[in-house]
Amino acid sequence: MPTSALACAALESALNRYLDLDPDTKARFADLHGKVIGMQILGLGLTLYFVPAPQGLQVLSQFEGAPDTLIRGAPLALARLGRGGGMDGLFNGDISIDGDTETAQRFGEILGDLDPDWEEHLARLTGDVAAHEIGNLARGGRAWASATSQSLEQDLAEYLKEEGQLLPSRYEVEGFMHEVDRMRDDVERLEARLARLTQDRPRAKAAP
Amino acid sequence: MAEQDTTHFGYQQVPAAEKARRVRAVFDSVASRYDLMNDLMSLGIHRLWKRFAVELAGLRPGHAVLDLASGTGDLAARFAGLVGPQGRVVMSDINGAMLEQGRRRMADQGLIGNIEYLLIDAERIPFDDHSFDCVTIGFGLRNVTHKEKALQEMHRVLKPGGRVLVLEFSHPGGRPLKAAYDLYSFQVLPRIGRLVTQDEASYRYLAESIRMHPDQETLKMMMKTAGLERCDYHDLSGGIVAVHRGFKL
Repeated sequence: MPTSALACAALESALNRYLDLDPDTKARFADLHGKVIGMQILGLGLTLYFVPAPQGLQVLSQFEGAPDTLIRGAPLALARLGRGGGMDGLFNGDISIDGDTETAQRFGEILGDLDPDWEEHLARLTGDVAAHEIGNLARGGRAWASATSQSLEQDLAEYLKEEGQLLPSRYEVEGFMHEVDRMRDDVERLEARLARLTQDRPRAKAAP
Repeated sequence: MAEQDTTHFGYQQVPAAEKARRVRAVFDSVASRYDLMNDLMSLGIHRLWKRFAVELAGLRPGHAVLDLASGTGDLAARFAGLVGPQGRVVMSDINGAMLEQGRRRMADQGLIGNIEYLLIDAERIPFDDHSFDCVTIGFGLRNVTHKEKALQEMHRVLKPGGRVLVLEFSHPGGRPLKAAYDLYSFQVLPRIGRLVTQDEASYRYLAESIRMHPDQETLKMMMKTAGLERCDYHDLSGGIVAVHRGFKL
């Protein structure tokens, strides 16, 4: 049995366990029953086939027919699909779609909306009060982490650009790119002019 | 001829007419805990074997598939997902108790609409010729009294271009694996059976029936004799299990 088959089995069981925690999303996947969504992971030479059904998702490592839709992208771009990025990747060119784009879009959206209600599932184990407290803590933690990572990102960018003078600012980069473009055009113009001049020379010699 | 009137039931010889009844008794006895036992006995690996068979089935939305000896429907549930709402899955078993378990499980999983349930003897399949894109039998062929007859029937109901898949315990290759496997199936397995289903004899039958089942090459020849073409097989877990595949061209 190939390794990819084992990876598929592991992925399938993880996804379905996750889906069990979010029945709404599971039901939305069931609406896609009868469709086959292929996902080609560029760079790994791996294509996975997702088959939604009422009981959950099946993940296959081989499929003999043509899938209804084939989503192609680098691993990170595809991972963003499932992390709430929705189909943004499609617009910035990280992801391409062959076949039925509507199915691909719905699949991407559902994957992006996957958001289990952890607090409710926790409540079954710990009771409502404790679950709510833990939920608050987790939400606080997540908000803090998100704010911290955002401000860290900003601070780091500012340091590298302004304080350390290690990286150029966006305007400098754009200006530089513009100059490069102009230079390329100038060179092309010069080339064309030289070509014309060398063409004219024999004629000039031949003239009396 | 006297030999034709008897068949093997595990290591015992029994009258051919009686094998079906005895097999039914075994599965009546284990039906309620069949899934749990499968997980315990194979350490969960049976799920991977079944996954592999499903990928080899080559099903697409809209296909019709007959699953014989479905048991509690592990294969049928996956097929129902693959063939989509337009497809058709006939889930069948010779044993009413097993089929009832399977039917309940399917309904619990929300699988309705494209599944039918039928009590079917694989030696007499109640369908017209050329009815299915795929006919499968998972861990069932060794319990069938006349295997050749069953394979012929499977071939008959297949559409041209369709395929038969037989997922069954087989004969492991290497000597160390064989020794470990024997120890496991004759010493450990019946004990697990006694603990979980209070039925040691049924699980002893299981181990014995696996040993009496034809090996990979023999089964491949039997499939060819039944009219199937381009027959091949894939060993899984070192040959403890094999998936045989044959096409009707």
